[in-house]
Amino acid sequence: MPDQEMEFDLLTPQRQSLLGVVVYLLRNFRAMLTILITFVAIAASKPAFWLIAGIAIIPIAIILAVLAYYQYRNFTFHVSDNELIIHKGVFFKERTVIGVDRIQSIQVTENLVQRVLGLVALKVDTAGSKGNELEIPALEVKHANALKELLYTRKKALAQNANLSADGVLSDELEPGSTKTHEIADEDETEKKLVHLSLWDLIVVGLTENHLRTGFIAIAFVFGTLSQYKDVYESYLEESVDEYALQAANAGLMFVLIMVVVFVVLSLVISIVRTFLRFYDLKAVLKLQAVEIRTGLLKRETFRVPIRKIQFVQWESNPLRRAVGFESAKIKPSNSVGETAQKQSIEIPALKKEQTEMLAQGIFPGFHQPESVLKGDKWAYSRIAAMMSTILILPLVAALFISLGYYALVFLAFIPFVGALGYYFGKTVRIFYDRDYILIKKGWFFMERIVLPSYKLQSIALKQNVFLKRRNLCHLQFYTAAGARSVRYLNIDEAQAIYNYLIFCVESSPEPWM
Amino acid sequence: MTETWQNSEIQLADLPAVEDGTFQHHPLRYRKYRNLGATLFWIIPVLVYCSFVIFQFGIWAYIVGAFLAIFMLFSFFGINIGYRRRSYALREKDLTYKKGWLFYATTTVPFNRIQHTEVSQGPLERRFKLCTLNIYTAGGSTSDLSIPGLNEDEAQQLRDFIAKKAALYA
Repeated sequence: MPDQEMEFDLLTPQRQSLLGVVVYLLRNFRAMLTILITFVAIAASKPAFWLIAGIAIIPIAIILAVLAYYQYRNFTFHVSDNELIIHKGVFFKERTVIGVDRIQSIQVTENLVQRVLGLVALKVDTAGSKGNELEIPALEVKHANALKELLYTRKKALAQNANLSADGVLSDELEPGSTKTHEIADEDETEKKLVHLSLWDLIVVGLTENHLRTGFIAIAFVFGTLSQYKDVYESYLEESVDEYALQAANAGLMFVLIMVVVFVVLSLVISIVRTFLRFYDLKAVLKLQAVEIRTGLLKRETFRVPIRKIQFVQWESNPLRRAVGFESAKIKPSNSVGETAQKQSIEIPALKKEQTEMLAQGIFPGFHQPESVLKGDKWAYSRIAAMMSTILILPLVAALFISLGYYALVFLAFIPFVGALGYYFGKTVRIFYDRDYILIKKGWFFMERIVLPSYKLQSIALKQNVFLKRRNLCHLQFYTAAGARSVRYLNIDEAQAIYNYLIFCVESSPEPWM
Repeated sequence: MTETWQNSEIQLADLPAVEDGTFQHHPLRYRKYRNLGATLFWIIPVLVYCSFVIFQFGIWAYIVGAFLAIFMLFSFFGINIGYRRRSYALREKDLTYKKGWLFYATTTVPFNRIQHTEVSQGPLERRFKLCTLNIYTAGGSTSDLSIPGLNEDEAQQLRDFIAKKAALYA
């Protein structure tokens, strides 16, 4: 570490890597492209346009290149007095100063261009309104890491000083310098490797994706493509209906079979490609105060989530994943202002049982399943499922009755079947709760488990409607800074008791939620 | 650090229950204000509908008319029946708001989770001397609480009280 700082001085204004010119050049070209496309769209029909465009392209390219060079030249950054200072701009000079205490998170990302050039971008998120994030787009990896470490160290030292002076007693006993080094050593020691996905793991994850979901995306794609050839196969089908009714039926069956095969193959391929793009070479590391995840094939991203910012963790699995012993975990940190909850969700797709336990203990020290439990009303789930399926199936049966006669009534058997499915789902809906944690469990096919520290709740709502009121049921909605989660069909008296209890937990908790 | 650390057992039944609190209802003016607002809102669709019906009358006129009538009925029912349920309860450490006509919701926001508060007043509200108190938490827009139909001084008092409480934790 000291070596790096020696050769790369962060305390005086520094330029980025010289290769940054290429990054800027390509950015400028991309910005020009939209203008160019509009021009082409307007003037493409006129031959003179092509002549002018041909001549103009050289000066435009030169201007863009010169611009890129000056963008690189005028961009400097350095750290001074707990502030990150950035100068930039070609025509309009800009000076941005960010106090390290306002830094929320630092991300190191790279896109394809940066990857080829061996550069990374450093993005600094600050508390405050949207668009307030800062980017240093072309840094060498080790410089980016050095800058990131320096900023974090400064931030931590600052926070510690503030704490010490607030306490008043301790500030004399410890020098700020010594606490700083101690803290860093501490963190290095407790760095634990959580998971590193191998190629085989990735294939397994891809194969055990929720194919129903990816399959439907595939179906939409297939039908979109097939509709182009609609005329061809439709005329064929129409012809054969009259004379070769049987053949047509066979052809139809074949068509369905082919569609099923296409569905399966396509969804498998899409799942695997998607998995590789998102989770290639995923490395997750558990530190004392943060979870760090590095992932991606074309766009490699590093997420560093401070543990106190994590609002809840959601574990999910489907039967396929369970068969191979994997579970996926979504980590939900609090959104900074203006960001959507979706964007901030961080996923680890394959965790073995002991890794799950390790993640849970790393984020929520001392977590165990709370004793008190509140169960969903399974009959309510069953009723709703049966009712919904009735609404869907009755018109279908009525329509089929005309052509099939009494055989159509067979479809009515679906209603109790769906009702039974609802019953078994409802049976799995439970809220475990105590002073420290809320644990929500749901599902027997797609299983879902949410662990949420009680004191991280922002507010709670109890919802009901006229039908639920008659049956003494209600829904509970838990709001956190990373989105809301709800549990449906609970007994009203029990739900009110847990409602009051959780409010009490939040109000009596001295811990800051963030 | 703290010598007086205690960890006594908590009985669920002994906790103060939200539903036992005294719920404060809105002044009758609020209902009038909402009715007037809804009337003003529906005038335009009804006028458009009428002008179409005059020019051309057909089966669609019944269908659209029925839909329009149902929507209007629902909005006025919602206002006048829902008015009875709309109420808030202020406790030492939190604020609870109840509302809803077909779908009821009770929401509680603890003071130590409030980000900021504001009092707003629209032009029509000014006519009726009413205010809306908006309470923002970090839980996103769905969990933000907005209590309309407060007397002007009442809203200001509430806001000051809540802001003072929330500042204790910030």
